Amino acid sequence: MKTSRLFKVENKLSEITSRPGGRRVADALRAAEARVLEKHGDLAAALPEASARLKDLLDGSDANPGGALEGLYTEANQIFALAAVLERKPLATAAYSLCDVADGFRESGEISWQALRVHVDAIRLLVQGTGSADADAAILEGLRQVGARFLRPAENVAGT
Amino acid sequence: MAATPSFSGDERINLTSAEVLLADGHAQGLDLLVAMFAGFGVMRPRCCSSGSEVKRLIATREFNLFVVDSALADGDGYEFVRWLRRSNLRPNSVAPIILITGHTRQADVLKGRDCGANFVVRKPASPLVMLQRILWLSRENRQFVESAGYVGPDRRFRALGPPPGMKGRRSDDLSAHVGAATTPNLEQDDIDALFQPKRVSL
Repeated sequence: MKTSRLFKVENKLSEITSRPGGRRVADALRAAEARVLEKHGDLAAALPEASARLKDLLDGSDANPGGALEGLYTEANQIFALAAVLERKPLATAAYSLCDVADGFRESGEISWQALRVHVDAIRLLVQGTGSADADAAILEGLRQVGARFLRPAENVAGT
Repeated sequence: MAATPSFSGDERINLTSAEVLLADGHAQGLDLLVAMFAGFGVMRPRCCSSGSEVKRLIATREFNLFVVDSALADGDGYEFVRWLRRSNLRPNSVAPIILITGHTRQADVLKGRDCGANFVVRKPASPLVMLQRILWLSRENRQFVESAGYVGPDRRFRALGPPPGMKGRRSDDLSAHVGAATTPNLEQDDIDALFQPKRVSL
């Protein structure tokens, strides 16, 4: 067995970040936030394509169920990331819920395609925008019930 | 993985000459990281979408910081980090790594910690959280561990010794038991004298 070894490493990042010059932390933060904000348009434009890919994966699931499930998880994860940056909370929550159920099915090996389809339909609707907070809440409550039926409690760290 | 570090807005940070590698399997995710790091002052980060691209780059360049998404185009980021830590490609194999995760189960946080990442950041990774982590890493003095089961920064942020009543597993672990004093207590004057500046002749 390899012997355990504990040793110091040179912190090069520390030496570099403390060199003269650079910018104030507050300015760096403001600049980064402004640049991220500039990207919001591109991120929003990617959402319809990503939700269309979810539907394609579901429609083609007969040929390759395992690949479709994996693809659904990956796409839902990406939609969650985009929606979370855009602060579209209902969409982020729905995508996260799809990740939860897809991940649960991956682990159990038992897949409810109906539960996945409900999620995909909900996400496509939320991407288009319902225009109503009540409608969003009703969609999320439906997904919560679907998730509760298939998932063990405290499956994940947290939703959004 | 740890409490939020504090920093002042007036503090300065210079990342202009930092060699930063950003890896994300999704184009939008990578774009977002590039934009964020440009704001921090990193003008030419190296960008990769797959672990194999990163492997090619680290064979020829030295990096000061890796920011790796858990989803790479050709596999998962956890495995890549585990590989990098065990690669012996110094100094890259001991460089700080921030691992970004999307859907995050508790098991994923532990997996991120145990693969050798310095930090796990859950999406959305805001500029504030990312900058806090970079500042923390720049002050980091955790030691590095190499063992059969783990290679990476010491997973203990604070070394408090073994739990009370337990014998430590390391040769340099001190007992938590405090024994009786063996010398007389110092008088207050003696203590004050320790804080008095004194002239020394060299």
